[in-house]
Amino acid sequence: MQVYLPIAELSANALDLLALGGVTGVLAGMFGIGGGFLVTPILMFMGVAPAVAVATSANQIIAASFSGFLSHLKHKRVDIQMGNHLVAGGLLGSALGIWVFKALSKAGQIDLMITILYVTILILIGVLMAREAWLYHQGKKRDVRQDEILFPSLERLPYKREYARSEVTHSILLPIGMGALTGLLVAMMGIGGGFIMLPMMLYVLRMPPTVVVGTSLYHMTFTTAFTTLLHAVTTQTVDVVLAALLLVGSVVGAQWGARLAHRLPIHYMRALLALILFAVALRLAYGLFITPSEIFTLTIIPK
Amino acid sequence: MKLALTSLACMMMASAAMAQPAPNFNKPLVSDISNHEIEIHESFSGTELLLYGARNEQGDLIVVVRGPEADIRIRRKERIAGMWMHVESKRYGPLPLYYAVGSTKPIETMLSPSVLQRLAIGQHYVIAKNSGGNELFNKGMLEELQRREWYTETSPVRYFGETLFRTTIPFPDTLARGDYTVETYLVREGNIVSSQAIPLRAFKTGIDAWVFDTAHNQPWLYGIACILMAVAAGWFANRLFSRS
Repeated sequence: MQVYLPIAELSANALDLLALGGVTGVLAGMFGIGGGFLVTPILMFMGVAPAVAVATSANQIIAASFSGFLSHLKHKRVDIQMGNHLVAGGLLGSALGIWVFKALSKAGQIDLMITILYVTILILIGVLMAREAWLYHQGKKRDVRQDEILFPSLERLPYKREYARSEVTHSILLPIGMGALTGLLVAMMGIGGGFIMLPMMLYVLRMPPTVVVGTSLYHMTFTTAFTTLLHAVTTQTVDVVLAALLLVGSVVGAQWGARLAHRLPIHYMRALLALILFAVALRLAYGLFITPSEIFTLTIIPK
Repeated sequence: MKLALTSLACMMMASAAMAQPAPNFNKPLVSDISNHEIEIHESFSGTELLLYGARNEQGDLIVVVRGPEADIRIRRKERIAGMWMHVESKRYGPLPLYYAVGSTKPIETMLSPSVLQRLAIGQHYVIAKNSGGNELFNKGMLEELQRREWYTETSPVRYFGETLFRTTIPFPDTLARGDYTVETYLVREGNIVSSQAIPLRAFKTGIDAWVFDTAHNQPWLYGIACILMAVAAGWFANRLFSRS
């Protein structure tokens, strides 16, 4: 069934988009990371403008993160106080990201920047996934212990707070900074940022693993929503029809993925995911180096 | 359409025979198009309009269709450190987002380049008129506009008998909304003897047009609606799956 995407300004098969949302949802359910980093490149391969792919992906992620946040909230697995400080940073980072996005669009370099960021991040996540699968294969557990202090200088930052739910004491600058870094990625790449937020919460904030996912989803719900609003207002690149089709697929896929995770050899599946990520990164990088069919590009300047 | 042409011809002949004092019937050039509106609906895949008319004097014909205007920025890519990136850009003053031209003879044999440039008749004259004279960018702009089928040629303007003529004007699926004009020129010995302009309007209908307009005219409202849609879907999914 063909549907016309009003902001992307192209026709696409609705079933393809539902399936794309579904695949990213399954990944999110299985591996606990969003899969947003696969949606954006695949939309770009389909011919959707990078800016539209990024903004729409941010809109799409709200649904899955809010849904997940509600389940964790029900079981009291969210540190709201920590979450609020992360959100405060997230909003700052998102606003900064939109500003950079707009500046790069004006300079005509946004497509290039999005592609380079994606190639970098996809390879990074791919390496992390492959490493985890390899360590598991060798029979080793994670080699970082949570009670270790990784960055002693971060412990000396001022404005300390006690986070009761997580039973840790940190400078509020730490979660604000982490939230801002992730918010920046949300605005510029249309990803949830869980892949970077979760390890930071575990090893920098040393939060208990039980509250990490719920708190990250709390942060993600707010930053993706704020990013969606800012993109809608400043770049006008949020395609609500495209987002709706993707998110239906992704919320259903996430449930299925969570169940599959118990039945499949999940640690070895990570190696497979790593291969997919490398393939997408290569395809994106290839596009940067081949001679484009059009040397000139046009932009209509609205009155 | 044949009916329209015949009736038009009948009108001409009748006016000539009776020699009524109504001056309208003795216009050197009369033309019209098969439709004065183009509806861009959800499954719009482009369309063609028929332009037909009659000349009552000696001369050759040029047909020009101009779409709504906007400024266009053109960027040029170059390979830097192996990667292709935009290196140079130029903003063109208002250019029609659609332009079609057709004639009975090559336009360069009918009018001098200065007249063509002044009246913006001919695809590269339209672009040259709005540029600072950078040939590389002018060429790139025209090629890109032609690739999108925004700049095109009508079918050759054909005569039927001595006075009647017709041509078809192609419109692509990515047609811009707004006001168009269809101009017909009668040219004799390097001069424009007569001309006529017919308005044409292209408008969008359907849900996608409404979504597009809301996104651009009410961005705050649109953004909030996008968020609410996603939040509602998330909430609903949570209800649905936490029970099962």
